Amino acid sequence: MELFLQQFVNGLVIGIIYSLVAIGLTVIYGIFDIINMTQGTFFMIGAFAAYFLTKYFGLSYFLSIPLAMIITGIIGILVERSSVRTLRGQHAIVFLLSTMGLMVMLENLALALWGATARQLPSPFSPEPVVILGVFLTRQKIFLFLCAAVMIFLVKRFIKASRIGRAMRAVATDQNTAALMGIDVNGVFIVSFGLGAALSAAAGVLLGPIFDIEPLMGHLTLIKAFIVVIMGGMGNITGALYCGLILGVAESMGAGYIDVDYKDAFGLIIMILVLLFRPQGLLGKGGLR
Amino acid sequence: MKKRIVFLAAVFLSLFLCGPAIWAADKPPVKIGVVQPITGQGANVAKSWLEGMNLAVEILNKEGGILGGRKVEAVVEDDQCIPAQSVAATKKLIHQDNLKVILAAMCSSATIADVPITKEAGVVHIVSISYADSITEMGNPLLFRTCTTNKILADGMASKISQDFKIKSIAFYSINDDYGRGLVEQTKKIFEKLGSPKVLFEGFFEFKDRDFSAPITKMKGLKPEALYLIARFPQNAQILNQMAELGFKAKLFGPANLVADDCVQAAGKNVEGAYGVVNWANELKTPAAKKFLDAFKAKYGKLPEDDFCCWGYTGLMVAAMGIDKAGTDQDPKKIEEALRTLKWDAPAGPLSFDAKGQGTISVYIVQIRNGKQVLLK
Repeated sequence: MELFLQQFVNGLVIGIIYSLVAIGLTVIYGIFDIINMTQGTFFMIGAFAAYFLTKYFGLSYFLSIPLAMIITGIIGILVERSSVRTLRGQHAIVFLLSTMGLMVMLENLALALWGATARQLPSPFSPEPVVILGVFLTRQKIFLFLCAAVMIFLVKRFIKASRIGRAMRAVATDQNTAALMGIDVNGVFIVSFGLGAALSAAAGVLLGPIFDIEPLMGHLTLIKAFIVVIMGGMGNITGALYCGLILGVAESMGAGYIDVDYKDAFGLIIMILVLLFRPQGLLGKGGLR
Repeated sequence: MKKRIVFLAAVFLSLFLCGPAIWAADKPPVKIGVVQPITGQGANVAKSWLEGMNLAVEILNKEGGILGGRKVEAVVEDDQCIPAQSVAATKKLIHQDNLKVILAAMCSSATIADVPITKEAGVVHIVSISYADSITEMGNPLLFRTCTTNKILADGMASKISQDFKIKSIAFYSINDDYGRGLVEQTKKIFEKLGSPKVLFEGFFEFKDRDFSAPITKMKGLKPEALYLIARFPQNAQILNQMAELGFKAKLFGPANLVADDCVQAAGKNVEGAYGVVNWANELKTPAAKKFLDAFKAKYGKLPEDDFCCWGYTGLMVAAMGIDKAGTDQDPKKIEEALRTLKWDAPAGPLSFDAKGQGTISVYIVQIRNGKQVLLK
């Protein structure tokens, strides 16, 4: 039973990271039907930003989280300006290709600048485990879970209740009508790319101390975020939250009780099943819900 | 007059002293190709390997070079431990730099990809740090391995785990590549023959994996007495640390990576007591070992931190001796003949090659005590 709980908790910790990255991806898709391949790159940039801020500027880890989010958010806005806005009105595949090209470029730039060797982002917490009901956790993992949960809650409130959030939902429903009603569509573009990038960066900084950081760390995360978005319904934020957790737990349980070597395959199997039997996603499609 | 004689004597004396250096500088250097993962997976191992190799180059050049006073120079290429990159790097050394002796590579999967390339080009291929058994079975007559193999490592430790340490149950957790899978296979074979220990778990991870919590939790439930861990830095330290975070304890066994200094530094008390099967130990007392150790200390101001610097030293020394003995750096056939009959007291023990090009390698068991390697037996 303890082992079952342990696998469950292991799954939740990694699952909420999937959720966080997937929410950034699903917001951008929900509003503009754009698949942003740089989402995993933002995850890596955020982790490296925190690494350099703590190592060379002596900032605390906690302060590096919002700063890394701001820096990566700005890079996200630059990505929007450089390879999305100029292509507005084109077919969705064009955006997929342009952001994919940017992903390859940014990752190779990171490889050239920082090398492929893994580095460690130091955790501010003690590595001694905390045992709750026989489940082993570290303070970093508890902090990660709480911090990610708060961020997801705030994003949901922001999109639901704030003026900008309403504008985002209006653009998601109908871009042209929203523009005719006087909504600044460019502004919505900027906010959603900045937000998506910042959320991914936060995930990178939170996970950095648990796993090491390196330029290609975003690949696996991007694939997982795609699975989550497809499972939860494209553009569905609540779906991304739940399905991130479901994916994390499914992988953990699959590895624990079926076969360790196929850990990453379980997510893909779930994705194929969802596509076959419920292609609109478990919680239904779109419209930024 | 007297002054002039003194002056002339000084000129002659200085000419005499600098002579070999001046002659050596006039001649073109003997270039040896090197492919190693300077970045990426295995970068830490490569760093150590290069320290050993650079030491060998320095010693050779200080002693007057080879082939009648020519300096030795290594041309180093990065393969990031990726087979395709390794092939590209090897081809560059063969076809662009026109080198006839190549030391390639580190990760067994990369080396296995390089063997057909060197075989086709007909250049001497020295494998100085890849352990997969299949490498010497690939039928390249110009291939020589100056390092250990999975079989040698398994033979060196498996029977000890079963009979000396009397381990009853064990789990394998290994990197999913030719090196890891090969070592697991070879070790398991011996366990089966001896009838113990019982293998409770066998898991493999990819080099991109960072989250080991699910397999560790599974192993924790199976309660093996020991864990045989095959992972390179930093994954080995990450696994050990995640084991501590999840409360899984077992006696640790593994190859040199497990007891190397980088892992011990990063895993701290979580690797304390681990047993490693190695091919070099700082406590070796032979004259060849002492010569290597003293030169290493003098150049780097520290002790060797793992097996890998010894492999780098041995690999380059063997390449240089082969060229020197053959009297040419251009004729691979002659270099091959020279290496075939080579007998050398390498730092880790006497070295000569069998018909397939595998070198004789000695095996030692060490344990981590208070963060230091201690040689057993």
